[in-house]
Amino acid sequence: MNTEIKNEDANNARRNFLRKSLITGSVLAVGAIGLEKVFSGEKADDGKKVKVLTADGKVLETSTSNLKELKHTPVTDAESRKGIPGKKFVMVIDLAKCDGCGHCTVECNKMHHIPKSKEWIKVIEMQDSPKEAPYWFVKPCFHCDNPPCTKVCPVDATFKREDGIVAIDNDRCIGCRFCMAACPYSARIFNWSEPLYVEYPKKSAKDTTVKETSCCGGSGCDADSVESTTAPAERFFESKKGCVEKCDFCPHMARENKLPACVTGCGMDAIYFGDENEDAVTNKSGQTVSLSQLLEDRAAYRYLEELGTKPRVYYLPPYNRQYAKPDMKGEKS
Amino acid sequence: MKIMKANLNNMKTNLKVLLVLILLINFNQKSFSKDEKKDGIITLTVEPNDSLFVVNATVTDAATKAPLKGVEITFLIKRMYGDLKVGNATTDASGIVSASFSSKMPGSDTLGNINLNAKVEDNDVINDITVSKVIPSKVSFEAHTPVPPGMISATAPVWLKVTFWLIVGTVWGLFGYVTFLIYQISREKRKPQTAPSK
Amino acid sequence: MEDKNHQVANQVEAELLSTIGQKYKNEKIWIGVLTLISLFGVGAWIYQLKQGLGVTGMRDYVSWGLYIALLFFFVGISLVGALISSVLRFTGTKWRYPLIRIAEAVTLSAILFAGVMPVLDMGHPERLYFLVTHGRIQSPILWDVLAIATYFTGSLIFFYLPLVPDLALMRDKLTGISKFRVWLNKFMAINWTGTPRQHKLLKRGMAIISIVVLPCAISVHTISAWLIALTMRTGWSTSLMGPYFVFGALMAGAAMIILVMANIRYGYHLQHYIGHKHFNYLGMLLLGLTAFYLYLNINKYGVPAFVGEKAEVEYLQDLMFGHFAFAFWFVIIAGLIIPIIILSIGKLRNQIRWVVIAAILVMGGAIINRYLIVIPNMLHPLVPIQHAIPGYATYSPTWVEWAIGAAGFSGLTLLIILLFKAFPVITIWETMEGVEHDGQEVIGLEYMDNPKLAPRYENYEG
Repeated sequence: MNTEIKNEDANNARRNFLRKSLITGSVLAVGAIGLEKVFSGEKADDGKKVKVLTADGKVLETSTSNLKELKHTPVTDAESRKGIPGKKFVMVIDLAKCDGCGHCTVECNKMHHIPKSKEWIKVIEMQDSPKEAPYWFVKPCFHCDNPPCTKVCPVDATFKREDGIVAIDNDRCIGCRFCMAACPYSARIFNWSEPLYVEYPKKSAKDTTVKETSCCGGSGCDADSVESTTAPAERFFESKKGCVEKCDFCPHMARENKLPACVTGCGMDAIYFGDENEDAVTNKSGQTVSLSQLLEDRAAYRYLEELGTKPRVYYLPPYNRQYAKPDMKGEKS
Repeated sequence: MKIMKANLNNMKTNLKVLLVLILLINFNQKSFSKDEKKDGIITLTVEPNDSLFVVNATVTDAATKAPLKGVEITFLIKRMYGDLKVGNATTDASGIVSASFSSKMPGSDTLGNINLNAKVEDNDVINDITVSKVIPSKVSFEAHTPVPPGMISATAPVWLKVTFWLIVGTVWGLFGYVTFLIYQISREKRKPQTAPSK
Repeated sequence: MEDKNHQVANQVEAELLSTIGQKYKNEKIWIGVLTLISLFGVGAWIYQLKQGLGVTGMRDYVSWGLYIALLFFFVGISLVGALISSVLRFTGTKWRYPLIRIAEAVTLSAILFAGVMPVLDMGHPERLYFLVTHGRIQSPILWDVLAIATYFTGSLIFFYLPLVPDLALMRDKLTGISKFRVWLNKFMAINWTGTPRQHKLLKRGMAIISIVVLPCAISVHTISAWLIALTMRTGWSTSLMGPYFVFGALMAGAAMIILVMANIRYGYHLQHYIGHKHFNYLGMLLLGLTAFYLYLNINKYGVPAFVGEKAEVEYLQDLMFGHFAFAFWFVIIAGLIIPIIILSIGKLRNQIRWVVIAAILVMGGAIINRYLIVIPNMLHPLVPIQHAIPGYATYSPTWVEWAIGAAGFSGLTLLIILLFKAFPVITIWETMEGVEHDGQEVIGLEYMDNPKLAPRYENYEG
């Protein structure tokens, strides 16, 4: 009897201990999860106040949680003419993957607040000869290493930077359009009238099909603050009447280590972008590949190589495509 | 009867505990699985030779220092927009894997440093862990490569500067000289007229 | 003989002095209409400044249009001054006298408006000074601006220098003019008294300018050609473009001179100063230039047509048999072949009327040809045009462009008229010199002995 009682007591004691430890353990676990959430970055209103100067010169006192982080990097005029140090941007477009959807154009337009009537990156239907396979051809500015456009600019408004980008300074451009005449790839467009600044509707949180592209996280550009701290050559949203503009390889994104809008807009992962110095290019899904390997394996080429402009955009031939080819009958506009 | 009651009570308690346990398990899967995986330590060594960098990773148990087998390691090199995969292998019984990449691999910055990461993720043997190593690369690139003076750049080539200013200077210099001649004409003193002006 | 020459020289002096300020036939109507057109053009430009270049027909594919075509045309006709004044003076051609000042006046007006055209075409004309502060000397546009400015200055000096002795004549002998003009003549005549030293300085100045202005003129038009040729476009990047423009300019300029001269002869009653001889020789000059230009056209279009490269063929088909077919064949047939036929026939060339007809045809062809050089090529870029917004894949100038273009022409004509209101149309002292040295027949004066054809002697005091 004693042993039984002793066993029971022992059993009870053990069970009690187990129960207590499990309850304590679970409470601790839940508590840990809760704490984790706190430390993961969601800001609680801690009630701190700070004085700020608004865009129209008024002093305002507001809670720190209302402040937006200034997410872009200020760029001086000298820096915008020199370029991002140590980089040589290069783009690779896989024509075998492009299905002509045009999302690259849509995302580029959103990023730069330009209307549908303007296209900095164009998707055209090409067929080199009647028996050859038609394909979709994606054409941004090639940012040539021997650019015919910078050669002819009379006021140095368009210039070649050290990081490979050919940029346009809208405060310098006199609107002579010689660069447009000189570009053999028809990459440049002109603002004939007062340009529209388009505020595209914010992406809803439920839409997960296209990755958010704008560097401010889609919450809307604070154009004034960007304008005052960014040199004209890197102002990605400021179209000016009477000035030329074109694809800029999104240097403002590169300064945040983010991919250009067209790359993240391409649902087929057809556009790769990267740094030639690093010998790596990345596409929308984050696949990073060796540039030299990719160019060699897939027999890359450059468009109209014989012109000698040395473009920085390489094309991978449309071999083994999975998508429907363009209907060339409706090609002539 | 007493014993039965006691047993019943025990069973109830057991059930309660079991229930709580089950709930906790579902609630804290992570904490539960934590108990099974070990912590591992990865040591990286790099042997550069003529054409390749060879990276060896040794996985050992954090507690026992014994080599662990079956750990899948992915070797990644940090690039600007993502990570370049240079190797993927599973450790053998000795706990060692190796990967290699070309000695011409450029660095991740202008100082010529290659940031190599050895990553273990979603592995059954050990917990997720990433170990980094900085390897000096053999290929360097400049932070600044100014566009040389030429027809495409902001500064003109010397031969053009010389030619341009020579031509412009000559022509406008001659214009200036002719203007000077005009001035000289105007300064000419009136001479008495000996013949009718023609 | 010398006495006769001297007598004629005095007659020349008297007559030509009397032409200054003389009313051109229906002058008021001319000046009124031209001023209206010019003012309308200025209004159109102000409208364009406010609205932007979108009021023109230019869009992203045809980004250069009527303004640039007119730039090429005006630069083209400005070449004639260098050709006639400089070359004929240099070579001592005997029949040059009535032509040189008219040529210089045309040059001056044309190059002024040629300099204005690119400014009208700019998106930001207020930033023009950037060419000086931030200019890139590698850019052909900067060369063009500089060349036009240089040629304008050279032409201005070249217009002024030979004018000095005439101004002295006017200062001494002209009456019946306003006080301001009396003062102006005195000021501009810079104490010219005809001393040997002054003559020497004048001759030296004119010699230097003659030599400098000719390469200036040729380089102006070659550099304008390079605005087109130094790009990678089908039909534009041809080595032939420089000579093509230069000779097209010379041809258009010669036609322009014939037209202006005929006009002035008619309006100012200068029938015996500008006679058949001048039109005959100018007709021959025009014949030679037109024939050579036809030869250049055969090279420019025939060679790529034969070779048959894909992009070239597509462009040429559009040009010759497509949208531009009518304009193209008008230029070749009516603008080149027919004038060549007319001017080759000696009988016709001796009639001023036929020379003028040929000149009108050549001019028309030249204007249309400048348009054909600029626009069709822009519609055939290397990358195919696709899904273009309506209006982007074609070009037709809007009323703004026509208004400004017309104002360019009217302004040019007005300026010439104004110049000849103030200064003698034909250079008096050089004509007198020519009569003294070579006699009136050689230099082409006619009917000097026929008093019936002598004009009235107004504003003249012997």
